[in-house]
Amino acid sequence: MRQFILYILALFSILFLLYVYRDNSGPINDRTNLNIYASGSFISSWGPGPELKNLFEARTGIKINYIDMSDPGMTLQKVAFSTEEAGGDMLMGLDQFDIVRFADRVKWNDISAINLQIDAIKSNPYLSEMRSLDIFKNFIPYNWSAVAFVTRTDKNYQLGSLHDLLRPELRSKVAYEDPRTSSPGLQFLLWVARTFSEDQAVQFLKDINTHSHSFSPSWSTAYGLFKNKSVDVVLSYITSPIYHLVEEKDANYHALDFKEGLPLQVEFAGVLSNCRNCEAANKFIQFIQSKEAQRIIMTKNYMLPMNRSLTEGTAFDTLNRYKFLHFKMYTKDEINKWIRIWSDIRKNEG
Amino acid sequence: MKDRLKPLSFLIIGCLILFFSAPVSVILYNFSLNLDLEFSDMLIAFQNSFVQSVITATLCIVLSMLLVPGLSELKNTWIKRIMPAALLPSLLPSIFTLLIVFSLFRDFPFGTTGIVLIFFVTYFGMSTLILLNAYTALVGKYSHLIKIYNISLIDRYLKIYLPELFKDIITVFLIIVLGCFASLSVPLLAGGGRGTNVEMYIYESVFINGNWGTAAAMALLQMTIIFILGFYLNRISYFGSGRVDSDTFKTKKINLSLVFFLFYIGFYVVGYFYQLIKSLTKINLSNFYYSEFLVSLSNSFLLSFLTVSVFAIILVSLLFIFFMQTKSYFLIYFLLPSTTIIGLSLYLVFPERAHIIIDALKIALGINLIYTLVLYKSYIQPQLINIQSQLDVARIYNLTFQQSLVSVIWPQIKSSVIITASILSIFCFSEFALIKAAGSQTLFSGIFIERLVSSYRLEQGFVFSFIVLAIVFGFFYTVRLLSVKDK
Repeated sequence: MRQFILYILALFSILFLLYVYRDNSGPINDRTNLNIYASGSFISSWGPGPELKNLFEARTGIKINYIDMSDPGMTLQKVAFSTEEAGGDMLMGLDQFDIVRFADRVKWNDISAINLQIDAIKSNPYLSEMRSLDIFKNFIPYNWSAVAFVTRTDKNYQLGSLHDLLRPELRSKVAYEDPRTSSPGLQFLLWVARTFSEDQAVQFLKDINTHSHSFSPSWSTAYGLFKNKSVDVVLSYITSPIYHLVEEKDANYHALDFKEGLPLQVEFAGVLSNCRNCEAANKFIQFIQSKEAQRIIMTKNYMLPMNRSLTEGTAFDTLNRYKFLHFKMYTKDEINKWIRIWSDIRKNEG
Repeated sequence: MKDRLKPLSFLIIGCLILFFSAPVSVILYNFSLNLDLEFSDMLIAFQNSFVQSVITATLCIVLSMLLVPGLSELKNTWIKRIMPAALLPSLLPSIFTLLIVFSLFRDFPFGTTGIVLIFFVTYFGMSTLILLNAYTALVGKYSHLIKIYNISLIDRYLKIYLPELFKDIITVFLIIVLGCFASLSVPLLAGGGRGTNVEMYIYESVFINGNWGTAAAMALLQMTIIFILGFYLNRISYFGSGRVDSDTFKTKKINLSLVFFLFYIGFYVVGYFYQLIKSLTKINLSNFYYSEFLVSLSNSFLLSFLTVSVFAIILVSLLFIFFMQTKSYFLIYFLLPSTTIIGLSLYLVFPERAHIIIDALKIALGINLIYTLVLYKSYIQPQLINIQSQLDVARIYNLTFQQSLVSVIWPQIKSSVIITASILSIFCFSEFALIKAAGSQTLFSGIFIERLVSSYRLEQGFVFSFIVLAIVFGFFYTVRLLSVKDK
């Protein structure tokens, strides 16, 4: 018993010392470091994070510390709640929905002066509307892709429009994501809302609801069902087949082109107004727009670079033939309205 | 002596109440409680959660109780070694169970049936093992009495074992209900309209509407319902389930129960190994992420150590309260299953970037907040009830708590504590939802596997999950062997 009490006392003493120690020497207060919130897959060894870090550190001498942002919503909530406690200078990996939902709770620096993407966006007809948006002042886009249905080539499905998803042979063969918990799922919901009139869209969603295989809570579960051959078609990204081609040398996957055009998913970076090392953050913002960084992001993140010329001569070049919808920012009310419609359809189904 | 320590036991009870209610308190302190709930949505969420969890729990318990008498008659060592494999579905990430079950069905029965099916696969093994453990001990306790009075099998079962197992059944019931209430992915994927459960409602409140006040109100309501349910069910139970370990008076090599149970284990294990072999044929071993994997594994060992340490502190506190005979039955019903609420409260309280040990401690506290009371109730409390009379004697002879703990309590609860600590440690290697919600910056094995799965690398995820399981089970098997040798 005495040993147990001594053990507990020793444990608490160590923990107390470590708690005190972090305030004085943790990288959080060191202004020669740049602290970046980024997603787990971005900072993993197979993601673009480590290579970008090495290149940036070699060029500038500024050390990067990635802070794992497991969920942008949770991180922004923490940043909004305790600005001083939040350790990051900038944030990467926000999509257009995260920005609408959460970014207004957090103050962001104006980075329009270092936004070098204007030219790249001008040359991309699908993204050009982004220039006129207010968000462009506080966020820079650094990669994009389109949401698309992916299938195995040997299945030989000839699908060319949203309506084709309701074909009898596809009953229980398509895996979708739930728009309440997944970004591609929300993209699909708003894609339908954008394509049809409200009444038609609601009816289409009702039909899809009974015709689908499942609505997964996340992209990974839906894609797992597809890889597992439980379904033949999955809602994913046009870049997904490129991953299988490059990493697995498997050409048996392709993304389906739809006549309505495919909706775009764009990822943004922003600098927090309470940044400790704002200058370094600005340098990193400029850096990720460079050709080298964009190439790393493209090859490791399996997303398209803002500068389309970088895809020339790569597997990504084949994606230029797809028809895309013009980038659109939805308001919070629009998103909530369609999620509400979706929730009601699901509830009444059960 | 006892009177002198009474205030201390009240103080400890107070501290434990504070600890177990801390997540909701932290959320309520930081976000004002929003009772402006959409009543119809809330009702649907509770109704769905209730239906899913009660059907699953009832099905698991009824089937477990049917199998337990047969399984208890088996004394084969190899069968005993296979049994822990039944825990796999409740330990592995839910995506693996989902893929294994989905691969079996051409037309999966979506809706309540689908949810219950997946929950059943997840919890049936655990439910059977807990009830088997309790039942085997009861058989030993009453074996001589049954021989003397020649009590028939049906009478034995209905008049002795079933009433005595009532508390264990309630415990298993609560564990399953808690698990079902806390699950987000299974109801969403398999549920259709039934997918809108309480955790989904909390998730929607937080991530779609940014409304933490509503989420806190739901969590509080959920906690209260489980507290009342557990407390009430405990009050109506008939007897205390004290028991001793001894041999059963009849042994068999094989029976129908075993065949059924092995079918269940086999279906999952074969499904898992099928996925594993398929994955091994697809992946390139030179592209394996060995260094990250080793880091995540060592971090999980650290997490496991801290989790067990926190558990030891809570356990000693609970044992002290028990020894002091302070009324505290209500304490073990402070159960909060919402990983979203527990995760965010830890994220708010702890610094975002901290030393790895502080980061691991944060998760260790979270794991203890979710699992400790349930495991204490399943494995340790039944043993304590059995030694109550011995503790009365210890008190008569004025033995201190320390003396009683070392010489009376510990030798008799040691094996249950080791089982509990092992289960907690295994959770440390597979947990990822809580770690993500708590904003941990340390790479643990559960997070590593989740990252692989969520970036096209499902095959690597399967392979690494197997390596983690092999290492963890190997480690605990070695520890067990060494502790047997020590004896």
